[in-house]
Amino acid sequence: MEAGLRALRSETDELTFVGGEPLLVPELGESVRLARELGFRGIGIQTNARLLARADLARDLAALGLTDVHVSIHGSDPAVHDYHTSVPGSFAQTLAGIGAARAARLTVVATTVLTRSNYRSLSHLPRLLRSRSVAAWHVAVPWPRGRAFAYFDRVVPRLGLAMPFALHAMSAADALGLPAFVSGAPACLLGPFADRALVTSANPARSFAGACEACPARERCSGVDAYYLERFAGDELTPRAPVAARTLDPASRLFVGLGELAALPEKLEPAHEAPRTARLRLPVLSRPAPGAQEAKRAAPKTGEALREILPTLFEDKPES
Amino acid sequence: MANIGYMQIVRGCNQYCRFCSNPASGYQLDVEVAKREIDDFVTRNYFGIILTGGEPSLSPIIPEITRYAVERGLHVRMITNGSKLATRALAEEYYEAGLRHFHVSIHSCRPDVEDFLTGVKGSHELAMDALENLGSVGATVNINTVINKFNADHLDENVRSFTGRFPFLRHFVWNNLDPSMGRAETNRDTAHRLADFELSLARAMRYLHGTGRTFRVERVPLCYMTEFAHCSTETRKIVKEEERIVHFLDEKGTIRQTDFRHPKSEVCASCTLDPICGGLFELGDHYDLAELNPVFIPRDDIVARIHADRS
Repeated sequence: MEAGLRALRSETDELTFVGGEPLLVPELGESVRLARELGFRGIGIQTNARLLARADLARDLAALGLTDVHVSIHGSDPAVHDYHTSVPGSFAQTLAGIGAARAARLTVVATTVLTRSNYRSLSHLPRLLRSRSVAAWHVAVPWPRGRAFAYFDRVVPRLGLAMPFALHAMSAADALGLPAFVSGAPACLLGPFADRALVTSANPARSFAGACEACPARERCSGVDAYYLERFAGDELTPRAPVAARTLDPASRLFVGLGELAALPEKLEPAHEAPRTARLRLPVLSRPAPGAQEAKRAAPKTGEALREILPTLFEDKPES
Repeated sequence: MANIGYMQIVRGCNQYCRFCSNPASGYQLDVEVAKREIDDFVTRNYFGIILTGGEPSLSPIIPEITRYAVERGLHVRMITNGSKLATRALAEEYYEAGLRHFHVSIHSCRPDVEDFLTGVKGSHELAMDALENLGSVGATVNINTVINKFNADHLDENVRSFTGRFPFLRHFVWNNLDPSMGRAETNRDTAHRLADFELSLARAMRYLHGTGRTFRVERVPLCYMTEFAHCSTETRKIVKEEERIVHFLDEKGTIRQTDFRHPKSEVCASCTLDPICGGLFELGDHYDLAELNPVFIPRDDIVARIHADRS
């Protein structure tokens, strides 16, 4: 650990411990202390914060040199958040952890992964975060890697549907004075918030659709994930006006991304063909096969034959 | 409760749709049995009947059974591919008999895609002629569309195209592909993922809603219905406690459906809309359990909208 920290220190004076969950590492306190000793000015952890309220942990880490906490929170109530974490009670623990961090005078920022299950209720989150003295908020479009890849259809929202909700929530954050940022979405879906897009260390290679070729905003656009583009053939992407350069709120520097992402499998499963691509085969597709029970041409079955398949119509009217 | 019964008139067709869920069985309804079905619906206080198939306009008994049903107070509709109604005289004959409400099945506004899906070159043009004729005789015309792999990404283009050419179209119905029976079972290339249509369906629904039109969506779980959960056929049936009787012209015979909850995923248990969601037809067989996700939005608003909507 020490050699790694020394190497990093020669490049920067800011450091964030990421995971997994760094609070599960017994040596975290010692690492924080060492980082401070080496001269790191900003020392943060990415965490679900569930353990921070236990046994004065937040206060102890602050005393050792921790400066900021980057909390993951995925909904404004227990039902939404606990579904995403698969841990009942995690919402309450995370809020307690945020409280403990603030009591220890640590800066707290929050990241919310935008999913199919939370985007429609996202606008409730800024008020909760503001009430807990969170300093900044980051809405992250999920990278289809790891579980988000394995459960792509369950987790990853259609950006054309989810982003308007995300922008509405960011607007709500603005109204409350909570600096809000976004990552992982193309500029054409960010409207007036395109200048709030973060380029984090986790951004993998980005892809663009045909419609992006002549887009004036392409230079400052992070495009979309390659697998997402393969699934949906870019039917949400359109050229837009250039994005003006803007100096982001200093709090944005705390959102450093996820670290190293899980690699995509060599063969992409679930493989799936977009409708647009499937239609390319129309000229060569043959006449469809008949259904399993489909009858060939024959004399129509009527009269008595109908009585056999529709007997209840005749129950009360027996033939005389 | 406004129950509507389904009468399959004939199980043959002059098209050969790639995903047809009721292909040829050889059976054809005669006047006597059709009247028994109508009498049964009257006894059950049904609001109306839908003549379906196969292609019901291939049957010669339509005017006679329509008059019989109308005389008994039933509202009568037909689901048709429209090819026969491209002849104006038939549209007029049906209208005069009392058949004044049609669901014309069209799956794409793109002629090459439509003709491919129906297996008949020129079927798109015939359907357009049928819409023209039905509109001009004063009939109510809805559009029925089966969502499948080849139209999943342009459902919005469809509604804009159809309403642009035929402004009298006021109501649309989408049926998500039924992969459990008929030709969709043997022609798996028509099968799609739910995410394939979600965006274009949402755009289509928003467009129709914005222009004051109405629509229903069948076999689509509420996690794919965005803000239009109240337009799910199954949800409306669940909330209004309605039933549906279908007289099939095959070995299934008469089916009285009172339960509109299809199988669901484990994660649906945490969804706030679970009690009013129909789930996904044939979930786990063709469609994938992992396509469903819980949502956390208020259910009461949706129920109230359904109760307040008289359509």
